[in-house]
Amino acid sequence: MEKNNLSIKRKDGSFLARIFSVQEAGILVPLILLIVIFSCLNSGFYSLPNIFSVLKTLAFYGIVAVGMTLLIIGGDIDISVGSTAGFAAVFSTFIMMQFNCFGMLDTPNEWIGVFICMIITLGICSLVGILNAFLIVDFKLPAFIATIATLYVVRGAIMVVTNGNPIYPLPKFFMDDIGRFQIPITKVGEELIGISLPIIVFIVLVIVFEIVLRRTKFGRNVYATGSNIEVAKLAGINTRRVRYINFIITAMLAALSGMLVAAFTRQGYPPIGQGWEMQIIAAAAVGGIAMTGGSGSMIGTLLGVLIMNIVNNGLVMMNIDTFVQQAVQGVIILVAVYVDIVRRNRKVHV
Amino acid sequence: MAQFVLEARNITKDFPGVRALNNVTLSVEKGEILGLIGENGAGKSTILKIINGIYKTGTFEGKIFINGLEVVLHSPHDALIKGIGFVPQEINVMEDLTVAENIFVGHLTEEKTSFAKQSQIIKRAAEFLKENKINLNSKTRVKMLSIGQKQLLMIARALSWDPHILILDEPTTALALDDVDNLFEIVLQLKQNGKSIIFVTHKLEEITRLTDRVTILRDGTNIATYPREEYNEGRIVTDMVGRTITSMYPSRSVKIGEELLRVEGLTVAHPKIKNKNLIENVSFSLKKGEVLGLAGLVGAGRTETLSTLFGQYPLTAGKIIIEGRQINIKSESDAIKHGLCLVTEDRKANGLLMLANIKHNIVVTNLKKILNGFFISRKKENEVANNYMSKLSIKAPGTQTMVVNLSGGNQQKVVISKSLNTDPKILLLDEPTKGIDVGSKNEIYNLINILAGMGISIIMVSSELPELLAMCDRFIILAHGTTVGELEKSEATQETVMVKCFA
Amino acid sequence: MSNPELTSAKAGKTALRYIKKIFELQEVYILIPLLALIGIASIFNAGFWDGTNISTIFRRMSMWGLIAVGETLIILIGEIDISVGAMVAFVGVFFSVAFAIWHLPLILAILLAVLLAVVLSAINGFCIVKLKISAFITTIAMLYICKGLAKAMTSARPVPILSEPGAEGFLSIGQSEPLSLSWEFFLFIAVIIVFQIILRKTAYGRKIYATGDNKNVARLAGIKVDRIKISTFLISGVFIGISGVFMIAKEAVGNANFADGLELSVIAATAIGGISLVGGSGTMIGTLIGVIMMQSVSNILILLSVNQHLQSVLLGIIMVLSVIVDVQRRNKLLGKLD
Repeated sequence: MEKNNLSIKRKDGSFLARIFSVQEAGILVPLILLIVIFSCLNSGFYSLPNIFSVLKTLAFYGIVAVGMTLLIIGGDIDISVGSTAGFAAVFSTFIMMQFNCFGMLDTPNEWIGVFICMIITLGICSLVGILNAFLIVDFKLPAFIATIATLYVVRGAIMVVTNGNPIYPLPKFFMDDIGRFQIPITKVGEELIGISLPIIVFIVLVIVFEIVLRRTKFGRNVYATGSNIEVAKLAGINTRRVRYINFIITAMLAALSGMLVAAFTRQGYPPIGQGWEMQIIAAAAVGGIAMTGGSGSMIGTLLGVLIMNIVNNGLVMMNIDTFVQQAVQGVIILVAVYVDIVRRNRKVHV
Repeated sequence: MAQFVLEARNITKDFPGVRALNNVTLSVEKGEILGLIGENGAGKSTILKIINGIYKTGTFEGKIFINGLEVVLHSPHDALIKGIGFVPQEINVMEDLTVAENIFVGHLTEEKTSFAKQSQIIKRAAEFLKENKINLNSKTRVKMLSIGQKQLLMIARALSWDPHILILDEPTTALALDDVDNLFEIVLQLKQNGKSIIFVTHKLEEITRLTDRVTILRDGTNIATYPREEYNEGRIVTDMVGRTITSMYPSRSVKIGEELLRVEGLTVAHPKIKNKNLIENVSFSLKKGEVLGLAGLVGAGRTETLSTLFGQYPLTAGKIIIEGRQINIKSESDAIKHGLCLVTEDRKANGLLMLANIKHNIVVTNLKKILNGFFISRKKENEVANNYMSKLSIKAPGTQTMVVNLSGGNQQKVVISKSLNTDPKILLLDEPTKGIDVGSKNEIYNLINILAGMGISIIMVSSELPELLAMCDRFIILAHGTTVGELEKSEATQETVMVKCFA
Repeated sequence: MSNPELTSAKAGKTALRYIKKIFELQEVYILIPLLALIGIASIFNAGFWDGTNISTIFRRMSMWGLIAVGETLIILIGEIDISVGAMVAFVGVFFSVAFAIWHLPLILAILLAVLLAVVLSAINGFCIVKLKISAFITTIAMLYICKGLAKAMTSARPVPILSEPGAEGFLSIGQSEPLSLSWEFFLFIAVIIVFQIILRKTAYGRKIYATGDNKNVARLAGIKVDRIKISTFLISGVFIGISGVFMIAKEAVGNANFADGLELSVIAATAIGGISLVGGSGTMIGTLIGVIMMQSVSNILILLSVNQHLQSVLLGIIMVLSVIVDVQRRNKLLGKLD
């Protein structure tokens, strides 16, 4: 067997080796290191409540990151996801309360109304994805221009609708059954610790999309489109459809996450989503997703999201200023992307 | 008409202001290799784009028949499905994916199942490659392949659709000689398997060697088609050009002076591959007013040597000595300062500023010349630009014409003007007549002679051996990145040069 | 005997030729929507033509117009910097802290602030040019770094500088209104003129256009592309520094939330002004027109009492439209490359 640094080594039969490629294994190392370092610096770090709390927070980003990963592999990017999440949070709760869940508020059938509102929101937010795709794919605008514009437009729309005021209170089903849903694991003191809904959704999404990427023709088409769009087109792949789908999925997942945050925080809070794009791009970069498209995987994103949030959490526990954290995230992006670039350009043994 | 596997009948295509094709009929018999030859602007690429669906049915007059049945082509992919395979001239592959994935890209859409296992794809690709005698490993990541191998990959990709007819557009441009032989074998094999081939080239030797018939286009018209028995090089060239070219390569009186440049032991590490050198121990000398030819197969290191002289790669070892003094060339501007200038192979990517006009392009290489103190003098700028416009007979309404609007030959003349504007002592020419019509080629050969006569030394790289042999006074042969031999003009023939190339 | 009609026609023709000489054709095209906009504004609210209103527009646009000059250079060479807003805020905050909290002498605080801007911009340039990280990623990262550091430095609270000795002279420069304009305005206009000349008539200008057009070709022509690129970031840094200091001179307080969303206006202005976002074409006069337009739009929206949040929506839409026009124009030009 030829030794080839850049190819994915797969030994048939080894389960772990099937899931993690060499590149992704390389990310596991810093992850484990970080966990160890932070546990040492901080006794509270390794406690169960902390772990599950970190997991829940990261799941919100993770859900959006799944969509973003798909998009970046396909050769595009969308920095308006945070605005979309915020919009979904505000819009869904707005119509929930405005129409009293279509008359079902505070009734046993409340859940129907809630779900209808959520589905409507998903639909509306997919329009944001369509708009982005329209500007970038059809009008060929540079992705960052189009999505910066969308970012501001949607953010502005949120403000216009709410005037900065959060939407509160919300239907009980939404707040309690969705927001507080968890599969209980154990009890620590008086607190019930469990796997909450966002975590479940995140993990399911990662698995589903990893399968899509690796095993379906759509997944292959995404890699092809991101790798060399001209060749993909000439081979008959409908790259326009691929890219549109990616943008729509990204917007819908952002919407889903925004709504889950609203459920969890028990209000439709307008600033939801601000700054998310940074976290998510950082997670993708750390997770080995090439910003130029054509390579990467969901597992990588999973690891990247883990790392970013562990860093955040660790810094918080060390009482480091939130704002310094923001700066640290910026630095992490630069380092991660640079490392990725170096790795890609590394001299290879032939 | 059932004997023709493909027929493009009475094709007329207009663009705003110009008729690109005028009632052209192109037909290919089953199991034949048809050569298609013509100057730039003759309509070759237009007819190809029509046949392979880039210009879809409806954008031109005329009909296309496959095996006697009329077809409508909506897109390149449509043409592919209907049995027309096309391998374009430029290398265009997916670098991050494997050979197998590149071959199968797009096929999965046709299959029923949504699922595609990685290992299956690799196995199927390996079988396919073996069947077609294409020497590629289906697991290799395409990034690692050589240019010749990438081209083989593109052919494999087209073949994977099992086309009736395969169109190869100037396929040997980037290939090394053994790759060319390999390609010819594959083409002949395909013919044996009953496939038909349109082989587009501007090299007469390939027409003579490989094709069963040849169709010649000129100015958008089908001039003639000859079967193999009637091949006559002179007549084909006349047909292409429309006039008799008595001497393809103009002669000159040679005035060679003292040694101007000497390189000793030039070695450059490969920027991407460890423990490998781009060029190794390259040594030769160059005299004033001499035209030196760098011969060698593709991959031998000729372009790399020129690029190194021009400061594009850092030297790992070796010396560059100009007029007796050793100098350090660390960047392009250093090289220009020492009197070297490079005319690159690919004028669109590397030669011209596409957003600018002729004037701006020419003067940018020597801005100091047109300055009046701090500011650019419009008068001086116009003088310089007009000077080159007339000296090189660049055909354009004026120096403010945008270079995008020029023909290939005139664009190349602007590129050469840019280099001449640096007042070089040594001109490095990398494939100076690639992709240029015969008429302009002739003008460039004359120009080379004039420049050499003026005392400018020239190092020339060309894949067309006849051109190299005719124009140069002396030859340095490279192989595997190093100098392997030297021949004087009197000793150099195609055979003697080729023998050394394989050293 | 000279025919008066003929002479006036001739005069008109020569006048047009002069106008065309001063502006490139593309700039004339941009002037049209600007004039249309002003026309519409006058209809809806006569207050637009009020002398004080016009001065307000000119004063306000100078506050960020200087930054647009730097950004124009960066976009001309084919890159982009979306951290400018956060950088200005950070520089302003740094200056306020240096002056009012660390009690450094005024001149030193100013110099350090400008130096900070240059250093930050240089880091952008370094990452983009030498480390080859894409401009988008680099400057987004820098945006967050600056935002975070600005907030951290001030613990998210504004830093007033009124009480400092020496502040008065400083503030008077920032807040005075010579000719009912501002010192910044004159600086801005001067810079625009100087850089327009530099771009069109100096070797450096040519090198910038060449680099933005095709950096390989520029390199082969002997242009030191890396140096040119980094120089634009350094120049931009200087302007960001000066703007940041002026901003504090005007507001008398340093606040991490200043200049939020500035990058949008800046990039929109350059897009409107005809600077192609892919690089290689555009002029400073174009930027000037773009800046005037953006500020006028903002001004009109305020006069019409449009919801403040709606403004950012409109800005986004305007930016997208200008870029669409630019992309179409460029494709048409280069479409001939088929």
